[in-house]
Amino acid sequence: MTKQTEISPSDRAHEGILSYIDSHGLSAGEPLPSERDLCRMLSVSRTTLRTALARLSASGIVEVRKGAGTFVCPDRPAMHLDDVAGFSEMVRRVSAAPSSRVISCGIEAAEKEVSERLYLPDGEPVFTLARVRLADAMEICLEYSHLRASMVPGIEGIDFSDVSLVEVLERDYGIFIRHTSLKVSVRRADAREGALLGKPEGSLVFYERGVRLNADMKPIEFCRTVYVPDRFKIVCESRL
Amino acid sequence: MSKGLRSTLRAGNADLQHLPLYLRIRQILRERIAEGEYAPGTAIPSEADLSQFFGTTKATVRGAIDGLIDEGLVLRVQGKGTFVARGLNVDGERLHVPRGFRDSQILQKHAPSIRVLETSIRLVGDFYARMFDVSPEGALYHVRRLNCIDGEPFAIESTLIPCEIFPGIEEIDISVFSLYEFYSLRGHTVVRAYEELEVCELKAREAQLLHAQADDPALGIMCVSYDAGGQALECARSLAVGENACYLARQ
Repeated sequence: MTKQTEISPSDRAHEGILSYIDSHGLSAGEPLPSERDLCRMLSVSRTTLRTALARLSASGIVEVRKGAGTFVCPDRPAMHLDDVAGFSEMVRRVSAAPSSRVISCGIEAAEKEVSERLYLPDGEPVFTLARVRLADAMEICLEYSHLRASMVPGIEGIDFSDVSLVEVLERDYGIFIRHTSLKVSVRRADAREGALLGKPEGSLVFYERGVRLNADMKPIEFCRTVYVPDRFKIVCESRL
Repeated sequence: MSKGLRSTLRAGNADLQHLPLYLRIRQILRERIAEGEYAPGTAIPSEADLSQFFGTTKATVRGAIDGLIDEGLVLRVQGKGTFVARGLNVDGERLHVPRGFRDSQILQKHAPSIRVLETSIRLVGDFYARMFDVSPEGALYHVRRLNCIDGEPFAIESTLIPCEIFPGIEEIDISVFSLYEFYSLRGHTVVRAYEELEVCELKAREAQLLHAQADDPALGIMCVSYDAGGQALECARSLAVGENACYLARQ
């Protein structure tokens, strides 16, 4: 005989808040009932409710504004792992305005991970571009792109704050990305990443490492990106 | 064994000449896969054959293949060899099948094993009533499992299944049938899955199960599986730690 269990208070709170948003058709910016009312409706303690709100806020579902209440968040830009689009495209899909802040842009000697992923001799000069990418002026991710310098002469002179790397590669260098292979894991932001993304050091972030290849399977770009999870979604729709 | 392999390595292209041997071998294998010489589902030559052919050690060949495993191009099946996971289309057309949790994290490396930690029945409730389109007063079957690779735990997976769609599911021996197999036998073959990644922090009891520390970062994956009629069949949440706690995608 299978054990019958009650829905735990924490699940009741979590599911209850999501159901409330859904069944009341609340949209971005609209308020949820007060904490006291939510506790009564869901019959959970204040502590349990706050834990649930913190979890939903970490996932970018709601935003808790001190003194003002809890509000539904706008849709976050999403990366679809089954159909990876450029950053600007992902941001435009949720009707936000994409922009980039260039942190650094120049030539340096390849470190081991970079040379390995791009199949370069150790210490080979690589072009490295570091950008904070934003949606409606909100920091979404910090992205490091590395390309073999000899493949893209003069690229360090380009201003990447308003042009995409893919565009420059296609237009100025005749290089076309045809395949992407990437890996997403979770880690904590270091002090620099936190400062650049407007998050405390030690915050949990998605960490993506990827290689972009041309039609001949030659690796063109190696990128490392740190995403702020409450401002960005990573999803995958698969057909089996 | 292909005739082209060795000559490619020797003649090489200028780009490859400076590279350590294992990276050159990796790139050559990649190209063979891209060109379809090693087709999806078939085995590539054994490590022994490859090392003989390239005139190097098995360790070097293994190093070359490890990178291809990381990229999701091939998978190593213990005692059987290394297989091409899926094809690459050299014309750049999409030929991509995203790698789901089980696929990417378990099948890819070593021997998986699954231990059932707990099974129980709970009320559906409003939230899952909407997800599964069933009555909120019905029951959900809950299975909590620990997934291990080579005996080492790396993920806790918690699955909820509506009893209204699968009456009697609680009587099934899930150590014999996989859940997907069971759904199929009942006429609900999973054809589509929606996954969303989450960042998580381990709670003390999760950390204990996973041989990790409380508050360690973990990768969460929420996955809803659907049949051809669009019916949601199960909602699974997994929590993974360690080097296997990653999600691979290729296109």
